[in-house]
Amino acid sequence: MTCIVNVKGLTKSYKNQSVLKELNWQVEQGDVVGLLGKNGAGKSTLLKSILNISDIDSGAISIFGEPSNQLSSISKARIAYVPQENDEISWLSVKDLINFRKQFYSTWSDEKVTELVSSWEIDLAKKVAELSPGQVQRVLIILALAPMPELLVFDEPAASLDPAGRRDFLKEILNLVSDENITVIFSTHITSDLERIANKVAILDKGQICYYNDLDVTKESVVQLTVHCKKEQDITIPYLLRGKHHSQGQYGVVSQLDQTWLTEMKEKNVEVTINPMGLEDIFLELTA
Amino acid sequence: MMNTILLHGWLVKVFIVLLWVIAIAMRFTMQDDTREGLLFSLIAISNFLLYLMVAMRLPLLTHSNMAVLLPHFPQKLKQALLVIFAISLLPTLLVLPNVVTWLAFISISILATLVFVAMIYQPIYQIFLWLFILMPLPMALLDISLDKEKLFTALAWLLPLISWLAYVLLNKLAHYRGNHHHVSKMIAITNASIGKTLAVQESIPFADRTKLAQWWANSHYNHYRKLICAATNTSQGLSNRKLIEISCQSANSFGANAYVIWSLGITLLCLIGLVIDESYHHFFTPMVTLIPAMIIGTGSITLFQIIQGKKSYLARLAILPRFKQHNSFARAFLYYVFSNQVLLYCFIAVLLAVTAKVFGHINEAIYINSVLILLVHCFVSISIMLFAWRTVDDYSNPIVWLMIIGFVGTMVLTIQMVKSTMELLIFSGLFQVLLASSVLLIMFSSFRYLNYYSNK
Repeated sequence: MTCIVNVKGLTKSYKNQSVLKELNWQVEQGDVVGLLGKNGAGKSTLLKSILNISDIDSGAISIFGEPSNQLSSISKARIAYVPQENDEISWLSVKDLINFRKQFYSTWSDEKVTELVSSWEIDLAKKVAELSPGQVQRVLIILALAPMPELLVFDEPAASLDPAGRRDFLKEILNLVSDENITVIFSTHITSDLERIANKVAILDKGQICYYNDLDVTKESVVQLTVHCKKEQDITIPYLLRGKHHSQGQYGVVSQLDQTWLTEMKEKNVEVTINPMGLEDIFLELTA
Repeated sequence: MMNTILLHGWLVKVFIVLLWVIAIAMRFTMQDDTREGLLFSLIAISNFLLYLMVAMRLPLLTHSNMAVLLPHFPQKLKQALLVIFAISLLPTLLVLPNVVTWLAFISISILATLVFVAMIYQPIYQIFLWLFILMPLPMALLDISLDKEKLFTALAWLLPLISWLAYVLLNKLAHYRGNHHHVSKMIAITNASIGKTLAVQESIPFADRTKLAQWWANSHYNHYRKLICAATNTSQGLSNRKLIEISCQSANSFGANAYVIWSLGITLLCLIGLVIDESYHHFFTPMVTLIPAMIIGTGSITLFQIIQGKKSYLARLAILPRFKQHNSFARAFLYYVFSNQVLLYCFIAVLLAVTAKVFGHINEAIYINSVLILLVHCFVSISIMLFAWRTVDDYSNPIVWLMIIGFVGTMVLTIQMVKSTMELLIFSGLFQVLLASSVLLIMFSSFRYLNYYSNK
């Protein structure tokens, strides 16, 4: 698979407060990556740094094989970004904003714009300042999707959307990613959204991508284990994230399920119960 | 579309076009060179306004998140700026067939553009503007005379160098994303409509403000903190008027520290005026004319915007048990607004008297006339504010524009009065009607405001 985004040793700090520390990350073509992290973990900073919107202290970032701070216009035309905070010109009407953006792209799809504007009931004559936060978010998504990009970066795209809006947005992304060439990175707090569309999950914690794996693999590997022993035994659970002893065994969460250890336990007549976990719990365990 | 963004604001555009039309009309009706200076000034002012307008809009494009991601953004921005600059040069053709003057005009236009843009992105470059305003005084003191012909010839010859410099800086500007902290504030202000500029400034987090702004706000609030503490320690508590006054304060209020700073500034200016020879006093006339205007602008428009932004808060205050007496809130509020504005206009009247005494730019009759005009302005301005605060709908934009127009009109009238040999306005029938109308207007608006709260 082609590497679309390659981050090496990214370091970024604000006023002597380190946000990203020697961060390494690779996103491959066709991946739909959900980026999770606590508040203030640096998700927005990471996305902005990748796209060269924020300056970085050190490190190397490349997108489509080009350094992100020297992207050619051809590569720029293949990227779309939806920021967390709207910084579009507030006194422009939606129609003017769309026309302003359109002039930069040869691949701009008027059909896509018309379709989304009508289905999301956006009033083109209204000024950006007159729209509700949810409507602004929808406009920003339209602006991002209209140039038919190959790399979409969303910073908390569904934060201001109501449930119906979120469903429409996710549907749109699902339609889009049916094309294997399209890569999506989106940060979110809503793990249910991530579970619906992402095929990979990345967790940003303490300035680094502490976990990056396929979503399915994650759900299979990060599990809750309950170990029941008939007599007192000293059992060490491999890849244990957090554990607690109880009267007749142990309880714990592992980052990876070791099949050899499971067989070993079976042979020792130790009963091990595997309980799958939701993504939200997995995230909490991995960042605890 | 980029040009539309850069040239946003119909009022300034209309004004610029109007100046161009006047310049064209003047050029074709000019019989000799006597009005050449005025023609040059018209072209220069209109173009400078245009450059300032474009410079103020530029950060909206260069510092937006998407600027680095939009394909061909730098090229399109440069193209848009060059088109606007080329259009701005059209009125300069009026100075032809004098080619040297025309080339000099182009050089001046480029330099002005560079200064305005630099000023917007880096406030330190405002020094160029102040140097330009204050230059005549040191030049006169040092007895340096500028030969206009020689200056224009030099500027004409320097055009290739200035153009090259502009080209280099234009390329830098198209990729510039520096001084983000200051520019984001500029964007917030230029992104807001005129009625909301103060609200945007108020929303800047305290820690993100400059040290001077932090000190200014703290020293202003300290006065009110002391008032609250003093009232807490006594059995009487705060009066209704004081409570409303405290509620209507903001970091940008024209308070005690503003009066002190302006008084110190004026005292310093007057001391300079007393020390230097009287023949140099005319250099101070623009400044001493501008200062009262600036104080009215900040003192009254700011008050309007602050209270407009606190309307819902004041409405909640009005339902407190202490305001249960009929009209007590509205009366206390009107008392606060009147005392605030009367103090402001009295300060300006004193300031005008002192500067007139020192610099002699206006005589006694003009001073009395100016004070009378200020009185009418004060009445009309308070009335407009009361009308706007009473309405449920938000009319901030038209009201601020109306106040600006009224304030510019007052200035123009005052300046015109200084030039002409006008007698005391109080004896003019037209002025008497105007004064009576303004008194009626303020009475009516106050009455409506009183009724507004008593009907609630």
